[in-house]
Amino acid sequence: MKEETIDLKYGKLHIIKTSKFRTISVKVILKDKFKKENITKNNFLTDYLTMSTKKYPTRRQLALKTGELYSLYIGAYTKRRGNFLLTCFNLSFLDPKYTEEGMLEESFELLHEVIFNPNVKNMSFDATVCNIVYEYLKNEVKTLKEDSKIYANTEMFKIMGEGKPYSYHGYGYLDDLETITPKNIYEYYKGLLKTSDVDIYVVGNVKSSEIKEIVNKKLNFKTLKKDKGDINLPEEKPTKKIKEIIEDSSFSQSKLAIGCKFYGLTEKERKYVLNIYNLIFGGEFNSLLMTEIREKNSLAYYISSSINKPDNTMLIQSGISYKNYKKVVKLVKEIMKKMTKEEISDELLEGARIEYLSLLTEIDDNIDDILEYYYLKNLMNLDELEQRIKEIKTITKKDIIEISKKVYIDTVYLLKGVSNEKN
Amino acid sequence: MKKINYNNLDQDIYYFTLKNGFRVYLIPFKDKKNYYAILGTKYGSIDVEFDNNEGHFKTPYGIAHFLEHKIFAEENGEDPFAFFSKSGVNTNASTTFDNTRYYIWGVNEIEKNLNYFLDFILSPYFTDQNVEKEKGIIYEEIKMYDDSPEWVLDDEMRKNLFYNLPVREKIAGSIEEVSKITKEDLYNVYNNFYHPSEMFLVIGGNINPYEIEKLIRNHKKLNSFNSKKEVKHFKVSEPNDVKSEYKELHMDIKVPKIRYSIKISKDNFKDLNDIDISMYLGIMISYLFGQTSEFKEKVTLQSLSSGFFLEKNSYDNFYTIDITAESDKADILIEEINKTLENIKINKKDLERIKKVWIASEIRMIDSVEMTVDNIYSDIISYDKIYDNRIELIRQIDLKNINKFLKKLDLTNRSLVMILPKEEN
Repeated sequence: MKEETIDLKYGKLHIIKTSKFRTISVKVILKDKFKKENITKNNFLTDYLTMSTKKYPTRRQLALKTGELYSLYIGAYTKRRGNFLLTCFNLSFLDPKYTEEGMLEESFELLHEVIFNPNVKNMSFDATVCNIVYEYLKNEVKTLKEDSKIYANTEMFKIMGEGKPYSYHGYGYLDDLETITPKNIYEYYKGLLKTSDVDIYVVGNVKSSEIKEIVNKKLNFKTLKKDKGDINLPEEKPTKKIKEIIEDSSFSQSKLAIGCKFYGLTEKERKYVLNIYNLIFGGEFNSLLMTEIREKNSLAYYISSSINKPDNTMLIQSGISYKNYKKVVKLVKEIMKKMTKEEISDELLEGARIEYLSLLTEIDDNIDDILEYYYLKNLMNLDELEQRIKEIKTITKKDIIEISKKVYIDTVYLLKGVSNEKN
Repeated sequence: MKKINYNNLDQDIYYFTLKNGFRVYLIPFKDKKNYYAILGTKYGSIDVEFDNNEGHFKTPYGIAHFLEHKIFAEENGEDPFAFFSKSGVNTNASTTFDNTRYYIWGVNEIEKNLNYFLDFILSPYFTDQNVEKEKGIIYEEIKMYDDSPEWVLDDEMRKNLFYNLPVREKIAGSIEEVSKITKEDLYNVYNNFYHPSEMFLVIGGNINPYEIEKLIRNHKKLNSFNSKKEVKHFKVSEPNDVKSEYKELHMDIKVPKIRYSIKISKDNFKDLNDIDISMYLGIMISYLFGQTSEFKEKVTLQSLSSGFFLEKNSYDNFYTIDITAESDKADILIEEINKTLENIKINKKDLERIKKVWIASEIRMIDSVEMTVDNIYSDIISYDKIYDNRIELIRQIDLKNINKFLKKLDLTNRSLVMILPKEEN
């Protein structure tokens, strides 16, 4: 499988040909610099565009159309990665071989409709539809607190991030939502189309020439390529004192969210050692966190770690009983400290290495994983597959000790539950 | 070993049964690198009571789920997660009301891992100590679900719908019931429900069916089980009406949540297969409440609900249609649902539209090893056989039969559970 990259006036078209699947996947990504107030606007916009277009002004009409196109899937969402705010449109449909001729073009036509032909009247989005989107997003923001795990994680990042991009969650904010009007969101939409970098990915059993022609016809963006800077946030110097916050709640279980920062990583550590470190520490069932907290001490049903490279952060999360809070935090700290001093076992290192390589191998089995692989590779400037396999094989136990010294706990947040049973 | 073609789509399924009753289904994919295997038994949280030739047994609620956790304990102290991770393979398990499944997935060393997979599930090792130790973990799991309004709605609704069926209780049980479980209980249910004659394996992906067949026919532990054990799942009688039509509770939430369910007995449809009933109900709810329904349009336009989910479930002799919604205007939403359920009649155009979407989904599904294996697994759990011609079955659904079915369908047994925000002090 190879990626063919074609320069367009407004960005890049990436075609990945494979005959392994019965579907074709397309992703359009608009890349812009991150601003907090744009999270909510972008959420609003992606909801609006997939709810109401000129030709299909209601969701039902759009659904009737996607059904006609043999259950075509079209969706849009917003995601922050490092310094960027991405607006993504996903399209997936059956290879016309299984449906009928002309479906390739018709499917792209619907993508065109959603991106370029929203329901606009008098230089403004439709007020009724805007109201539906508003009500929907308002509820989504309001109910954020109902999921104790999500709430604990977002609160922790808010405290740790102090106004930096990663301190904001992606669900949107009421104060920003209140400022949106049918007119200014339409202006925002036009601006977004003008200023974003555009990448288009097409994966499946396709002909390049055909795709180029269709993309030229159906996805004619008018933006100009501009440098958007680096995706990575600057590293932050560690502070000596760990922030600790305990908040009361009426949930039964307490939710623990520990925020960590990385500082002083080398390029190799950032690109490779970090992945292996995370798998060993808390990234899988067999990790040190799971073994110590769950299997040996029966303190939790789940505990895991996850890393965010562009943000230089790591999240450790678990659901525990309040009475075990101090013990769990102490154990987590002990594991982290031990990793800076003692070599981990061969089995753990080899297990993590082979897990990483298996994940790379499995990408080929799922069309959306293939798309995601190329999109992340280009966005985050990752190495080619062969290079990755080579590099991962060189990682040693010493590398794990070294990187462990560059991980710092910054914030310990507990959403305190009320359960107090005597187990 | 026999071979069948799946959905006329260039995909084969092989299957065979061992002398001891163990069933095996193999789905070799041409273009995949991964493999995915499920080992299942038709033993779930509802099987708390059962009969065998030694008598009648009653065990604590939550024991099937507890057993699923404890299967991972090994006598030599080896952790299956650690074993599989040596070759980058993952494992997990889950328990539902009527079955328990164990699965592995990965890309490397299939023979070694499959051998071990069968070994560890077929070698129980329960001690007083390892049973006690598991309880803390399971208590945290139970609490985690109790904090979720969606799970609470689900738990409360089953209590509303059923008088006697054991699905009234949670899959994981309660902390009180789980605290009673002993190693003797675990061995008892294990010996009754984890006999190969009660179990089956579905494996798909990058596999050679003949090599896997050889491996299974030669697997020592698996083939050491001989006689088929007679164990009877205990049946309870259940009235057709709902036990309770309404329940209201309060949680610390911002937007009210509702669960609206309809209890449907299979009694009216003795002339139909389960798969027919299931497909007809599927068409009906998709027509009434799906993305292209007039109901959904109204809900969207009037902002009646911010989250709306639709499900069809099957419990014993019953189907349920379950609507979950989040709504500030629950009263209006419920009225709309009630109205939608009056005088249902599907026309040809709607039916063909839904069929087209379903067929497309079937074709899509076969692109994924996981989904294909999962679907075949579900077929065996639900129907005791594989439907290898689903696309054809969908094509054959005909308007007359559907409307005949709808006429006989009794949708009057309904129940509502609401979770409201706590009063602000």
